[in-house]
Amino acid sequence: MLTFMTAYLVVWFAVLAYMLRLGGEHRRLRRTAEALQAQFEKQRPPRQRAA
Amino acid sequence: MLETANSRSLYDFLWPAVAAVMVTTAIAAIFLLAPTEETMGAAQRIVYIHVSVAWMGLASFVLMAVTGGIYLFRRDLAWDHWSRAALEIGWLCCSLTLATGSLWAHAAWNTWWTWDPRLTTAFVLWAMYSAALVLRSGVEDPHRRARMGAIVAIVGVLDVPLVVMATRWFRGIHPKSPHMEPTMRLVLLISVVCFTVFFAMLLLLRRSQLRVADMLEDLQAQAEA
Repeated sequence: MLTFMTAYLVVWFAVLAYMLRLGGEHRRLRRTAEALQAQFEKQRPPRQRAA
Repeated sequence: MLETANSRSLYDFLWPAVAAVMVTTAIAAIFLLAPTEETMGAAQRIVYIHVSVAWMGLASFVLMAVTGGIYLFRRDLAWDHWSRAALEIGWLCCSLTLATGSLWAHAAWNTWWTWDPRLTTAFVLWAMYSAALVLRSGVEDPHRRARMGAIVAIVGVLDVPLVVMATRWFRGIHPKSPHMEPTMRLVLLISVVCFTVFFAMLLLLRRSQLRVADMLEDLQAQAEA
C-alpha cells in the first residue's frame, strides 16, 4: 500500500503544483488587464470618458 | 477582452467542477472498485494512474507536433499557443509516467530503473520534452521560439511510435498488455477517460491563458507607443 500511496501522492502534488502555477498566471494576467484598462481610461479624451 | 478579465463567467466555475468530478471518479474507481491483485497487492493499482498519464504524455507530443507543423505552414502564433500548452501538460505527464513507472518497477522487478526498450524510449521522449522547454525558454522572439519548438516537436514525434511499439518490436521486461480481469479493465478505462478529460481541460485553460497573455502584450505595446 505504501508504494501505491507514494505514487498517488507524487501525482497529486505534481498536478496541484501545476494548477497553482496556472492560478498565479491567471492573477498576473488579471492585474495586467486592470492596469491597462486604467491606463486606457486615463488616455481617453474627457468627452468620450463621460459617454 | 478587458471585460472578460474582470467578470466571472459560467466557464470559470464549470471547469473546476467538471475537473473535480473527473478526478474524484477516477480515484474512487481506483480505490473502491478495483480488486487487489494477488501477486503485487495494492502496488498494482499504480497501473491505472501510470497508463493514464503515459497516454496523455504521448497524445500531447502528437498534438505538439501537429500544431507545430501547422504553425510552420501558416506562421500564426495561435497554433503555437496550442503547441506550448501541449508541451507543458505533456512534460508533466511524461515526468509522472517515469516516476510512477519507477515506483511500480521497484515493487515488481525490485529495481527503480532498467534500460528496457520501453523505458529507454520513454526516457528519450521525456528528454525531448525537456529540450523543447529549455530551448523555448531561451528565445525572446515569439516567432523564432515557435519555429524552434515546432522543429523539436516534429523531430521528437518520431519517438512516439517507438514508445508504443517498443514492447512488440524489441525484447524487454516491460509488460506488453497485461492480462486483466473485466473489473480491472473497466477501472483502467474509467481512469484513462477521466484523466484525459481532466488534462484536456488543463490544456484548454493554459492555451487560453497564453492567448490572453499575447493579446495583453500587444495592448501594452500599443499603450506605450
